Amino acid sequence: MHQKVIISSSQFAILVLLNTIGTTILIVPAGLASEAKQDAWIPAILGVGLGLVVISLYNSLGGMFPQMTLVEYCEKILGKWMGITVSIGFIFFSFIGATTLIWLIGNFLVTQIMPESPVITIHAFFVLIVIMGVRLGLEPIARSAEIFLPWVGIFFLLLVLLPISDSNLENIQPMFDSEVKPILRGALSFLSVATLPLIIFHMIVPNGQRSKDTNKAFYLGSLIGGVVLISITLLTLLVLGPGLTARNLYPSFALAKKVGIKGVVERIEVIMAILWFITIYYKTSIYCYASIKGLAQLLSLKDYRILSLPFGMILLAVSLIVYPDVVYEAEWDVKTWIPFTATFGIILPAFLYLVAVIKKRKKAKN
Amino acid sequence: MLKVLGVVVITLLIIWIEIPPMKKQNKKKEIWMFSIFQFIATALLSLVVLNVKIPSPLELIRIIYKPFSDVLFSLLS
Repeated sequence: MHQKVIISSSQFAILVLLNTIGTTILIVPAGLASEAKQDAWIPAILGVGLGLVVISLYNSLGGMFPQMTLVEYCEKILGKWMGITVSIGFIFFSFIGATTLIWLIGNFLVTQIMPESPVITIHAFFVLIVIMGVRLGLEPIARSAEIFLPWVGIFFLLLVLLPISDSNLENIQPMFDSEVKPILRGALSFLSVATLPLIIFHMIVPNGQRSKDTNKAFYLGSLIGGVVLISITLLTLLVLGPGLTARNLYPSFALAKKVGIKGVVERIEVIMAILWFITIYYKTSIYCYASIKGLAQLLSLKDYRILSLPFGMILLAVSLIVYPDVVYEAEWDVKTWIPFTATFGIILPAFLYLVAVIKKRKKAKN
Repeated sequence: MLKVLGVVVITLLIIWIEIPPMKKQNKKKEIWMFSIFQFIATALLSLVVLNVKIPSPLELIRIIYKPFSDVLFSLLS
């Protein structure tokens, strides 16, 4: 009932990579540094490690139903009504993900770069290009991601190499001084932003069947993304110090403002912003694609595209009211987002996997 | 009011793009689904541009998850 999505496994890996970096690169150093101070890089490494475990859960769950999307296998595992309820949950989850990302980009642009623009125009233009991508389909999104990947790589290298001379090892000393609980909190917040939302990638079935290559691509994308995030966290710590990193809303942007070669290369923070726009664009597109495709499959529509334009308008409307202010956002992102993503990113997939395994065993016995 | 007019113009534009091809292929169900979603979208966006206070969906999630989050963070602090 659905058209085949034809993307190669390397394109799949690139999309996973861009999704992992997405918002995380801009906000995660602050969260980690406020939890674990000078040891903020430890929860980042722990988070990447745990992330790979989570990905292995996704891969084994996806491997049981290699030809089905998330919405389809929910129905298959849990029966019609339970399956539909859980699917609506997943669709709601990716919708909320998309709206908060659009709010974040609007807030970032208005506070840091374009303070006089009305926020609705920024949101509207961003929603417009996201919906444009979703209407064109996943293949063009994946191909354009391939084109942008070298730029992301170059900008990232610039951002890593330029500030190295400004770094100060004293900023991460004393090492291993934190207790276990702050490290765990940090790792959890890292996971909740970087890895757990990747469950929505199960709305994509590359080439009509998940294969070993897609599984590998899933690991690879998330691992490379993790390495990028660890190095950015370490670097903001080394250059800005734990105090400034924790207090800054966008520490990696502050880092980019600070670095450069005097008189030759200066004010490269917009490079950071572009890097972030590219990655967040793909993250929002995948969220949007997942929720629109999920809705269409739930309503058994042949073509998900007819829902895309009204969906874009709803997205725009909700993105404008989603967070009342930055204080609410900071509190919500820690206190609610973590258990919210944990439900959809770990608990439900684990539950689905368990039920599927039990059902399979029962079938084998009979 | 000007903003609502803008929303209406965008809505008409979307209908003009989407409906004719569906009509041609006589897809009744699709037309219905599209219309329902478009109605919600237009109503919601009009309310938002008129600055009507609409509760954020995040508030609902926050209330649902408050007990879990309290337990989780008391365990980890």
